Amino acid sequence: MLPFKALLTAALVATAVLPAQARTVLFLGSSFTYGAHSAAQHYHPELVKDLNGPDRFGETYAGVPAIFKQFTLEAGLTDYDVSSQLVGGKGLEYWFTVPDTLARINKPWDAIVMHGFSTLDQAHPGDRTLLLSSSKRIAEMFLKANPKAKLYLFATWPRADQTYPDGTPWHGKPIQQMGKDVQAAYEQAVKEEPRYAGIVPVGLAWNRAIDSGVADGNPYDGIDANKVDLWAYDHYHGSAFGYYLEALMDFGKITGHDPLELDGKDRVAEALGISPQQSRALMQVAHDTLESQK
Amino acid sequence: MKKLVLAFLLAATPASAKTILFVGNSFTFGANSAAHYYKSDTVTDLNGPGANGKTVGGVPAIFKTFTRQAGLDYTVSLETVGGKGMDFHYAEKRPLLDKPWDVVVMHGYSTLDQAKPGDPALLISSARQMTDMFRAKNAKAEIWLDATWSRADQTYPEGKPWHGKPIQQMGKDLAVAYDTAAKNARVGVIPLGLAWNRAFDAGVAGTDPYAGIPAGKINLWSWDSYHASAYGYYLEALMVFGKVTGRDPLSLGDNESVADDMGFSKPQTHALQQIAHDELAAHAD
Repeated sequence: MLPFKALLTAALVATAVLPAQARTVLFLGSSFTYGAHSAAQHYHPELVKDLNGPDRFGETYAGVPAIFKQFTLEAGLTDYDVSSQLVGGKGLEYWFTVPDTLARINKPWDAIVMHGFSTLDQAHPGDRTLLLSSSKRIAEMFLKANPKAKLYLFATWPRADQTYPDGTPWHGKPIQQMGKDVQAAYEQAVKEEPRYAGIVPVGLAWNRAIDSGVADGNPYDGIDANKVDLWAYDHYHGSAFGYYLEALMDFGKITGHDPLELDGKDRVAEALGISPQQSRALMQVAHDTLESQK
Repeated sequence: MKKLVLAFLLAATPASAKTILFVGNSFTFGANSAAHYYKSDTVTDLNGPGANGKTVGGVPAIFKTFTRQAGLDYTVSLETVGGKGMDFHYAEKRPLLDKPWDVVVMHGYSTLDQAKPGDPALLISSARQMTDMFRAKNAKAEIWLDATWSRADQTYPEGKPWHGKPIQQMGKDLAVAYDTAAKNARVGVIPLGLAWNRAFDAGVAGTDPYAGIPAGKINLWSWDSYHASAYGYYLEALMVFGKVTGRDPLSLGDNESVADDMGFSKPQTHALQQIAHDELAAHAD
């Protein structure tokens, strides 16, 4: 009788403490995650917890984490509890320089999606050294807090502004090259720290979108008819299309669901001004990219 | 005591806020763009939530955000139904509309008459009907007709009413019809379509989305080359703001917050405000 009672009490306590068995996800990153220079930045901030708290305008970030959360709801996954810690222009090493912020993120998350600076190292574009060391260090921290945490590195996209203008690091190379180089660096990071659950190959998805004619490859010469511009006006950050593709990739990688499952259900596209055809094309790109990485 | 009474009266009459009603269709609710659900909590959608549980923000919410930044106090309401002209609102929505509004901004169907594209008769009669209704409740109501823009999808594809004409022609034709309707109803016009034409002529906006968008230009249309993009709705809201409040759209400045929320660059923001400024100056009474 007593063991049963104890069991019952334990069960009740467990139920009370973890009512929904929520899966906690932290997005750790920069403007590439908060959706700078696009309508994604303010897309339903109430869907996520911005650990920064309100900015000077009283607003919190929505961005890709909020789009991801909305996708999970549309797929019938009601138990994702999404938080974000985002600061513009920073890489993974930055978090160790801000102790208060570090204390806020150093928690036993179930999953974490994180990324470095878009050129790998702001001072030395293309140099992966800093990414390798900082990704190792931060993995150590998160796995100490929760050894079962699923850690993902979000491999960022080729920047048109680092490829087309004279004197930029990828000048003269095909637009896909920067995305490939960034992907290779992240792959080495995962090789050196195999406890990472994997890479979200967003840069490769951008390359695929360009190769398949869904997206324009060079915004400096205009945008072709019937193609989307994945970049914002600065040809650096994402447009709503670009962040939408990023969120589709996160959704596919983290939940294991096919991004194409969202076809016909998704409401994010409409709210961002993305047509049903454009939305489906981006889902197909995300699907194909994830398939090619299996 | 006297002072106290005065203070009480002032406190009890926060009716310094002007009421403004937007009556229209997708061109006001911001279809196919991030304007559609923008800050919907700052305005009152008289039709309540749609099938998806959301209410409209659209151009009225952008206008509201502009007025807040300009230190003006407007209570903004809207009544919008996709694909409808003023005749529909008069026939079906009168209980929601028939009130003493301070300001009303309204427009008809984008081809003037869905059944007879280019025919101004329905616009002229329905503008008069609506105006009479509003003026019966508030004789001093300021009423504006929002003259809409050239549709690329009615100009470039074969078999369309404005096929073969320059992209500016549909906007010009609409402006003529709206001027007639406004004269007949004794109301003002917001020359939005002419502002779009000015954006084309000034090289700010691309003129043919079917051929792609040239570098450095914006696309005022949405993906259907019919409705507006966030840029197009922003220009619409700037024109309404300029006409209704009498303020210069350029006074909102490059740091205007809606533009940032929509992902516009500062030069793009400035260019659109300049277009609105120039178009309003060209139509100054």
